[in-house]
Amino acid sequence: MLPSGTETELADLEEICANIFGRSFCALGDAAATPYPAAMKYFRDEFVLGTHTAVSELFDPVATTVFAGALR
Amino acid sequence: MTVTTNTPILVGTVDVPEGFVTATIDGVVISVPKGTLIIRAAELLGVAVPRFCDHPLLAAVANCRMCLIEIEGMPKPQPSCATPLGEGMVVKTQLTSEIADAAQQGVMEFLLINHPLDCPICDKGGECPLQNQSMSNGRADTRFAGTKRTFPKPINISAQILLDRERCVSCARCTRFADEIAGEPLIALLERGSQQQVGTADDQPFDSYFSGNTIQICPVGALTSARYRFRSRPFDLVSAPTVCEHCASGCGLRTDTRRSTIMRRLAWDEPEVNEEWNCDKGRFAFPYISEGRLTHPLVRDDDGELRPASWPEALDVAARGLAAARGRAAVLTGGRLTREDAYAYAKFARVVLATDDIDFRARPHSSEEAAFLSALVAGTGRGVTYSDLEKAPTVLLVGFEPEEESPIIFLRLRKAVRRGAVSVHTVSPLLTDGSSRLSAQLIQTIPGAEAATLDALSEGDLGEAIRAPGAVILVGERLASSPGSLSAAANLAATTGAALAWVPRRAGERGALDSGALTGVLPGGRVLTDAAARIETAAVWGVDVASLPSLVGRSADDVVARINDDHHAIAVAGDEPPEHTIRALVVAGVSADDQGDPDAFLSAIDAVPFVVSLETRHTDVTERADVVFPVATVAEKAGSFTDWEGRIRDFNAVLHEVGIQNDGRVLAMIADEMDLDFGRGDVSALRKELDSLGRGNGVRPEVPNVAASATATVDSAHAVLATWRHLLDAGTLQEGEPYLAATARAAVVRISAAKAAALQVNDGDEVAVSTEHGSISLPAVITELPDDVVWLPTNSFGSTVRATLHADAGDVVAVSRGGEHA
Repeated sequence: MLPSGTETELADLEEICANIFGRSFCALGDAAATPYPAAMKYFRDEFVLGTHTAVSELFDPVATTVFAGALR
Repeated sequence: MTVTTNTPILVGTVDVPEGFVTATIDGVVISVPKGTLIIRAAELLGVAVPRFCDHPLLAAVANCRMCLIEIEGMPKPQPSCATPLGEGMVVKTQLTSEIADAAQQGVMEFLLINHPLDCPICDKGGECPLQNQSMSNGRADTRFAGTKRTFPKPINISAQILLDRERCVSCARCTRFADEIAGEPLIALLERGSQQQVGTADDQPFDSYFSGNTIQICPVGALTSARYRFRSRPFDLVSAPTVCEHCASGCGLRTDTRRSTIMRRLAWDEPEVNEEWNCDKGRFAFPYISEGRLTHPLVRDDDGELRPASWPEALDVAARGLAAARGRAAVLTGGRLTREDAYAYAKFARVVLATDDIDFRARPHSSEEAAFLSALVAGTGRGVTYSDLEKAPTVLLVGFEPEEESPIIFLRLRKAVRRGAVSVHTVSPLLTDGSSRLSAQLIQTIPGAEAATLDALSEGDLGEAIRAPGAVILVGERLASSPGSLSAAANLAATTGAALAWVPRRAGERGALDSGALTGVLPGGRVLTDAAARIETAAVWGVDVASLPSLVGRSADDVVARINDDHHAIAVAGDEPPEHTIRALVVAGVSADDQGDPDAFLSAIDAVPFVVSLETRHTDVTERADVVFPVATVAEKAGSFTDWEGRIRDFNAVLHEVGIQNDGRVLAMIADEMDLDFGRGDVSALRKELDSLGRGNGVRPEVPNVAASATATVDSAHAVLATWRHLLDAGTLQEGEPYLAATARAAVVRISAAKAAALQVNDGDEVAVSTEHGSISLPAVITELPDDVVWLPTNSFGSTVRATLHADAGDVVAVSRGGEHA
């Protein structure tokens, strides 16, 4: 899949989550706004890379298999 | 914005009274009564926290999230509309807290995602809380790049109320209003997520008497009226505070005009009277002001035709006709006149026409009622008030249906009932929908038997409840046609100590009574036959005491009967009319269908030799009159109404039309033409005279003591008629507003299950109610009624009881299967 996101959108998403978190009427709002900021906290670089490089290039799917070593 | 109470503010460090809490808002120390919401406390400091769902008269729900503020020590921003200010709290609003400001901007961004950018064509544009607050508390640009959610629009949730679902921000003000205030949860929030929308049940439109209020409290343009949609922009309107002329509730209104045309009317904030609400009749029934008006005087020609005439000619004809009938003329005024104009007629009758034959009661009335009014109501000033109703432990309604006859009393009682503060009891043949929304206990009575019922009430549990301090008895004007009932109500009030208030249906009745537009009553509740009262009145009027009529005159019914009797005698004997007969009538604001017997009224108008009519529009009286003068409606003149409490409600002219005079000014011109001194007759002069007359403190007449009459006995083909008006009906002041009329309650015949079984009819079958004069056939609704009682609306489309049946509550009528069986 070709990358279609932008870095601005990543920032927007974070801000939207911040707008929801702690301000919604129901607890689902709070819960739904939790995963993305957490992912951004630990894997920001990967998200940024994903804006211009296809995921298949960043994370070679073959490299994540159990038989990757056998192929080398 | 509404401030409902005059909450004391204490800023800075002073002794804080008990029950107050002290906290800091935006660095300012404030002490407010415990329980005050942060959003209100901030208002007291002049800090406006943005809000949509919050409304001071609705319970807090905190579901729009716009009013988030920061409270030190709390992890999340809190909704200030649902959080009471606590002792020692440190509150920061958007003015001092970045967290609060960011939270509000974020909520605003979400609210605007699906909101159409149609402000330039939206009715709310220019007076829209969403528009204003998106400017003050929102981002300048949009980041939303997707496609907005759309809905077909508008949809009719009633004939009058149109819903634009795209604009809705789901604040639920409208649904909460319908549920909490009106007690008719006909609208609700349906669906979830971005599909959430306001809707009605499929077969049940939002036909509430109070539906218009939802338009006014909608913070966006989602609710509009068919009457006003796309008619005007708020910034083109000129607004003026006015008072409603449709009933005796005394609502303050805001009337918006554009280029001398009334575009709409809104409820004005009057905490002591209508709070922020009004009924749909007051809101929408104003087209009568601009349509079909009389524009110039009319004079009957020698060939019997009414033709347009100049003012000088019409005044000359009127003056000569009335001068010839001086001392033998009568004045019939309706209950729709302002206090000032009613006073002008009261003075005109006594000073210019030298008669005491004046009566404002254009409806069924009795001499018992006249005695009751002059003894207990006229000139008594403010009695029971709206806030007394709220505080009363017990309210007894007698011959009075608040929702239909005085809707603001209904809302106020409902407010108290919801708080669990008051128990309502109603003496009536049936428990109506309105009464059941007041959780009222029915004291079931056959029409005409109210007196006996009231006599029995002073004992027992209810008697004890009415003896509780603050208890109130509200009697409706309809009791006039139930002999003995007003006496019994007065007696019940006297024996139990309960406060008694008379609630007329028309706006001008109390003012007319206080101004002396009733036979035997002089302005301020003075008694015509009291020497001191005569001296006081004559002094203000600048006339000789001896010239005031000394004998108590005749009621409207007696005037009509006298004319018809004399006319009949003349026709039979071919004689000259008797010397004492009535030779001229001055009729104002009365139409035949108001009367208990419309035919008798019209035949009297036909028979009397000279009739002067002062009217706003063509009526069955103007077409029979000899001289017709056009007069101003409430929109074109200043004046005041006295509401049922006795509170005087002043208003100024909204439309400034050239050449339209108030009634008093026309009367003054006629008096001038007769070379009699009447004064200027304009509103300020009349007011000045009323003020200097004030309230009489002389003798009061005896409270009537009329015995209850025996109730009618009926066979299976007959029933006793119970009847009262629907709020929205065929009334003349509601003409020209089809959307409003379409929300009116349908006319039905209500019969008991036993009667239905005897007639072999089911719910919905046609039932005919007949007298010798005519018959009304309508679908039946089986209701818990006494077996021998049948109920009809008095003046609805398809059920004009007075005009068709010539009957009134308590009369015996024939009941049969209707439709093809009739």
